[in-house]
Amino acid sequence: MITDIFMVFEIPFMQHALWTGILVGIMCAFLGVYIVMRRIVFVGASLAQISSTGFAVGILFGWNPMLSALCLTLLGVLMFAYNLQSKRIPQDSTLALGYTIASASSILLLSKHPKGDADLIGLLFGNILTITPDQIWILLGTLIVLGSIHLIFYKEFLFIAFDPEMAETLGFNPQFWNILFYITVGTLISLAIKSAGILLVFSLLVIPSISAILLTQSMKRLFLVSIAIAVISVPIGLFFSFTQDLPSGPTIVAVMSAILLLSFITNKLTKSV
Amino acid sequence: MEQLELMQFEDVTLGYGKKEILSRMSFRLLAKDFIGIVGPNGAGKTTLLRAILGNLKPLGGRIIRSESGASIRFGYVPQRDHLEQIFPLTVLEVVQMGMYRQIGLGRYPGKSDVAFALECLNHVGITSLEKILFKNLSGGQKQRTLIARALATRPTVLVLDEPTNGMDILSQKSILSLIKELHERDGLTILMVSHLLTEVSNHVEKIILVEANNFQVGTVAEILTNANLSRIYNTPFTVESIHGQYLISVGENQ
Repeated sequence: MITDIFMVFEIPFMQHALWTGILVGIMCAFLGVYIVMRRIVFVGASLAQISSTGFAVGILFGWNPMLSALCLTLLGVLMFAYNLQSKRIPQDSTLALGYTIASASSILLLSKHPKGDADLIGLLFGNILTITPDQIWILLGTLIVLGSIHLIFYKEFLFIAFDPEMAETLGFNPQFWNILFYITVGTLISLAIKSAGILLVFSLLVIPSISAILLTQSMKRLFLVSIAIAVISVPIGLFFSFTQDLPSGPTIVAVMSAILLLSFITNKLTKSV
Repeated sequence: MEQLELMQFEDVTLGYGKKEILSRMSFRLLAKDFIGIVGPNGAGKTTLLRAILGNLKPLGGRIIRSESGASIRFGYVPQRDHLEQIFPLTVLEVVQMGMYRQIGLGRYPGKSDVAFALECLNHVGITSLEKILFKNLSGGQKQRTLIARALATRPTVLVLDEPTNGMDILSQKSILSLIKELHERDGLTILMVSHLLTEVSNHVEKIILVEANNFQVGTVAEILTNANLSRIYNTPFTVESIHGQYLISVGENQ
C-alpha cells in the first residue's frame, strides 16, 4: 500500500496536486481554527463564493481570474468588516446576502460564456490535477506571507478573538485586527479556489479544525492537530481519487469526514472512560 | 489628605448614533474611590462603564483625564458570559492577556511575564489553577481569573462589570471580599457595576445611580433611600440598617 502511494506521487501532475493540497491545507486548517472558534464559519463560505464570482468576472472579461478574485474578495472583506460594526443589519444576514448574491452572480456571469458549464464545475470542485509549478510557487509565497503575519501577531489575533472588549480597553483596535484577519482569509481563499475549488477550500477551513476541537484541549495543539489532519487527508484523498478514478476534491473531503467521525468517536470514548 | 482627581465628567451625554442614553452627567473620579454603579436594566450602566474606559466617545460634553497628573491605568473585568467559552485557554494564558500591551506588538510572553502572571494569580488566591482550562472553571474561579488578568495590566483603577452575576451566595461574598481587599490592601480605585443593591451598599463608599436619562452621585446613605429606589424601580423598596449593615429588599416592611 505504502509503495503504491509512493508510485502514484512519482507522477508529475500528482506531485503538483499533492504540494498544492498540502499548502492550501496547512493554511486553511490554521485559519479554520479561528473561523470555527469565533463562530464565523459562514464568513468562509461567503468569501469563497464571492471569490468565485471574481473568478467568473476574470474569465468572462479575459482578465487574470486570480487577480479579479482577489480584488472582489477583498472588497467583500471590507463590506463584512463594516457590517460587523452595524447594529441595524444582523451579521449573519449580511453574510447570507453576500453568499446568495455571489452564487447567483457566478452562475449568471458564466451562463453566457462558451465554456460556462465547465468553468462553473471547475470553480466548485477545482482543478487540482492541472496545477502548474508556477501556481505552486505562488501558493508557497502566499503561505509564507500569511503564515508569518499569523505567527508574528498570534497573541493579538487570539486576544481579539477571545475578548475584543478587553483588548480595546488595553488600546488594541479590534476593527483593525478584524480587517487584517479577514484580509488574510480572503487572500488565501481567492488564491486557493482556482486549484482546490470552493468545496475543498471550505471543507479544509472547517473539517480539520472541528476534528481538532474534538481531539485536543490546548490552543497550540489545536492548530497543530488541525494542520496535521489536513496534511494527512490530502495524500490519502488524492491516492484514492487516482486509484479509484474519483474526483479529487470530494475524495479528500470524504477522507477528512472519516477522520472527523473517528475524532467524534474518540472524543465520546475518552469522555466515558 | 485630599484625594487626587483621576477623571472628570463635564456635562457628558452618552449614547449610540443619535440615541441618547445618559444626558448631561457631571462627576469626578478620585484616586482610592470605591464606587458602585447601580440602576435598572437597560438604564445605561455598561454604557457609562464603556465611556469611563475610553471605549465610547461622548455625544456631548467632555471627559477629562487626570489633570492632577495622577496616573490612570484601567484594569477591566468584563462579564464572564461575554467571553467565548469554546477557546481551550488555560488560566495562565488568560491572565497573560492582561500583559499583552506591555509585552509589545509581535512579541511573545517571556519568563518574567509568566512569573508576573503567576504573581497575579497568587494575589487572588488561585495559583493552583494555572494549568486548568478557563472554560472548565466554576463561576467564582473564572471571576478570580479575570480579576488576576486585570491586575496583570498593573492598574490604578479596577473596573468590574457585574462581577457576581450568576454566582451562589458564598461565591458572591468571597468575590466582593476580594475586591474590598484589593481596595484596602493595595489602594486600588474600584468602579463596580452591579444589580445586587444590598451587596454593593455594604462594600462601596460612593454610589452612582443610573436611571433613564438621569443619574445621581453620592454616598450610600444619600442615594439608596426607600423613596429614591421605589421611584426609580417603580416598585416599593425597603432600606434597613441592621448592626451597621444595609439590607435592601423589594416590598414595604410590615
